Amino acid sequence: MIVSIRVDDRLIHGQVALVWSKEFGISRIVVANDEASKNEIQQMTLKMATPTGIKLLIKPVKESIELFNSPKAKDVALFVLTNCIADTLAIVKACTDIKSVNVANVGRFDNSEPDKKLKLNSNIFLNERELGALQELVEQPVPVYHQIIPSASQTSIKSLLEGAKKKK
Amino acid sequence: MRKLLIATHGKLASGFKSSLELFVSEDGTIHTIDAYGDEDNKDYTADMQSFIDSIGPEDEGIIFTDIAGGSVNQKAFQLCYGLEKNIFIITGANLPAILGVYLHPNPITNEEIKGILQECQATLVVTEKAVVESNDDSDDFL
Repeated sequence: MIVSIRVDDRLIHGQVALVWSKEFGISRIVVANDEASKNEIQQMTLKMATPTGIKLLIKPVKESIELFNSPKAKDVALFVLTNCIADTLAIVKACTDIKSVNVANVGRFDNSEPDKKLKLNSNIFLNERELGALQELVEQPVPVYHQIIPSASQTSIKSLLEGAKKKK
Repeated sequence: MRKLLIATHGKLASGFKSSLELFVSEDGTIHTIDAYGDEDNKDYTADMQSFIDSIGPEDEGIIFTDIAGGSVNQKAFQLCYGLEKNIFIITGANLPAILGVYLHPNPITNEEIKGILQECQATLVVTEKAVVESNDDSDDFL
């Protein structure tokens, strides 16, 4: 069971390690990311960032989906990190047992043209591909919201998208 | 209510607060003293005293200072000494330690604080090439 998928271009970092993992009380984190699963240096830093007592698995998106759908995963609470919306959408479409998606920090480090990105708020910047994926993601039967830290309130992504549309 | 005071040499305390706000919502319970932090170099004793005075019978006061035995830490110890109040003075402040204590469920005990500090001490390390364990351990992950 996936307690939450957090979309965060920094994957595991301070906010995730120090605050969110405690908030959920989970003992397993899965980083679903093709690049990280091949990059040994990034794996080292992700392991350093993982708090003591929490197991970490770094897998390509496709293999992560297989893991999430395996019978054993049913009774285990997982906290999943992705670094883009397209990967998240792929997971949400392929798995049923997902409680929530938190679109936290997106698009600042995706190397696409800054001027062409849609700024949803000060933490979410969407290129064309990511915007399309997000529009599809909010139509899925899973709550999709933005919440940087547990003590901040949740903002519905759907309402942020509608607000951005009106501005145009 | 838990009330936090961070008191340091120079502007470290307000810097800590600025960093903390990336992790927790500031709700008016985080106080800072930047001792000797500006040109007029004013006496911060009254500020520290008013924090201590604000700790009522239902409250929990946590004071973080930067250097063990530094003047700010000495001042906190002197002002709190002998008071029948629920105040903890912790020194050697760093961000994970402050966060760990601040986010711990209320009320906190001396032993629990020691446990949190021990965990944080283990993270005060030289960052060097870590041994990367094989990343195909999905069999025993679940």
